[in-house]
Amino acid sequence: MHALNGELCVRCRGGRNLCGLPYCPVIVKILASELRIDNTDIYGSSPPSLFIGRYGYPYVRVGPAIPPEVGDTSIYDLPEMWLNMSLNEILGFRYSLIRGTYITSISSLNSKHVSHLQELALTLRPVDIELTFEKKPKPKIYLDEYLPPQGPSAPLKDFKIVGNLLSDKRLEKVFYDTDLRASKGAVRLYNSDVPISAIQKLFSVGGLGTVRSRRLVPTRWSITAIDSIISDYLVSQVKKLPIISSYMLYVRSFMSNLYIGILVPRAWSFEWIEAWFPGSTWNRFGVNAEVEGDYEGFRGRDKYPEIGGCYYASRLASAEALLKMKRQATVILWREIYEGFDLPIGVWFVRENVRAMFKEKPEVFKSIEDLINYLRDFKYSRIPIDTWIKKSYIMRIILKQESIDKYLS
Amino acid sequence: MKLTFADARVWRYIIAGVSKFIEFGLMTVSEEGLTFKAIDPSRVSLIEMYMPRESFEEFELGNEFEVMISVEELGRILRSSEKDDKISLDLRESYMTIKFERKGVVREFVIPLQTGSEAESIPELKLELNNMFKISGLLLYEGINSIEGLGDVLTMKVYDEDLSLIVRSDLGEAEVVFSTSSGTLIEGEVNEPNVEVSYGLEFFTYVKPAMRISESVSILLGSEMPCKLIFDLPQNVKMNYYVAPRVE
Repeated sequence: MHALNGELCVRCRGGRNLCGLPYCPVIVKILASELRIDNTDIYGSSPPSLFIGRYGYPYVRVGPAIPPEVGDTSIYDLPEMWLNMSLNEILGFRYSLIRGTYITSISSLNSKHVSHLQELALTLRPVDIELTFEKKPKPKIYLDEYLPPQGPSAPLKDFKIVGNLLSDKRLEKVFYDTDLRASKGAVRLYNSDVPISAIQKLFSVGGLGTVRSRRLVPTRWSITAIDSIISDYLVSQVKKLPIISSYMLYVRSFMSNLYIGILVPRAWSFEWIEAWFPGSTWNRFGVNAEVEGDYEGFRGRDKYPEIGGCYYASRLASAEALLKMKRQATVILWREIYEGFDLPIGVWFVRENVRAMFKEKPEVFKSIEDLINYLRDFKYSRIPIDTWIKKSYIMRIILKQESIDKYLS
Repeated sequence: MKLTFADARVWRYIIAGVSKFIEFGLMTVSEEGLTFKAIDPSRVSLIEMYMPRESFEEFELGNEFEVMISVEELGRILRSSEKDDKISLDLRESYMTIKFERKGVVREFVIPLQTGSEAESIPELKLELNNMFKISGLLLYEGINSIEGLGDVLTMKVYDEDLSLIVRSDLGEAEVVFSTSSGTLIEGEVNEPNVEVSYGLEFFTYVKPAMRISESVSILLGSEMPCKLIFDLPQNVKMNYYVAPRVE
């Protein structure tokens, strides 16, 4: 965490982000210190929230999470609703979620605790739960590039669903269809307007797929798997659509992040590149901005992108936007992450920001050269356009293409 | 003005591919026949379709006509055409009626037109291309089909009298060779040997439906030049398709 300047903090008092961070380190520090839990029994309303770990696979740490409060906590585990909230608020309620975990095999789907977890994954409403821990939860917080921030945890002794649990009919239908492949089930739920985060939860508790293929899937993997499955489906639909008729530029600046989206009137291909500035999450000790990315042509990829899960999260949001336009395009996405954005908070942040960016009105250009010239004078981007082009495989492909205009008499 | 064409399939196959990458095209009807011209939005390819007067069963022309038509809209309508359908076009001031007729049953669709100043004129394309290869449409379709999964760039290479289609990518390299000696080329005329030019593969996949029903396709190539594909379609319909090269 950043070294704080006392004078700035006094002037800001956690409300104006004068230090340049998208969250207040003082508030976060206070929140973390308040995590001390003196009981081994906790009662509260789970949003619902559950966690499947990945260490030790195929024997993984699993369990539910609850805040020590009762009421409508659904927003605590619904990233689709977090974009307009401050990072302080998000960290605040995420840190209040206490996890009880125990170790089980990924194939033990019939145990009592896993059945309870599946029941939790079948509802979209908060559920009252009683957790009994073997010892007091450690006041530790857990941050991950893929997952939303996680609160304290302790080994679980017992786990009871106390309140009434009302299953969502859409989730239930897919859960009980054990002849339905996981990918088809996920797409069916997405098309029935079930939030992506709920589909990811159901998948992680072995609630999707044919009976023999069902198993527990670490939360981190299930997030990317569902983004990948649903974006594959959306891209297959996009590929059937007519191509856009001009070059479009979208820009979004949010919480020390800049997103640039370029739509090119060509068949579907996709690229996601990130530039991490010194002092940002994954470039804390560097001197220069580190630029990395991955791409796919019309036929897709046959290897997992090195850049990770944010590739599929942004691909999903891009394909959604094109389907809404009823158009096909080549999508180039560039993201600049500035100093101060130094907490990994999960790929939801990328998915929701790209979704929000494509809801804005684009700048429209007749040629790629016009668009590049506009970006060259673009005052918000801190990476020179020539550096972006050098790093962008798809942009270089487009720029290597001659225009037929050159040959028209 | 009313035009009737005996086989709606020809229209359907051409427009099915074209509507994927072209939004609007310029349609001109004159004493000679009907022409359709369009440039794709990325301005890489140009398409010219020519249907002579003789290819129509019925050709009633009042005034000469020049209109922009929505290829997407036309494609959507043509998807409903079936084998043995006749297609009739009735062009009015601001709309066009498309009729399909089969065994006495008539289906009628109306699409709006953009006329006058909104019509984009497309200049002539004059190229000096010294190599020509004539291939069966179906063979070319199968050739493109077999290698398109491997990459995004298609390289055309001229050997002595042969033509190679090559796709290279991280996955490897795929090559399809057409030659007169193997009988896969109907005709080959090479005046500029050792030519190697690359193009965006996607621009060839768009016209695959037209390749499939063409009696033959002539490929004209020159060094660092656009390639020209001449499609010999049923009922004397001709289609010229130009794709600008890539600078590798």
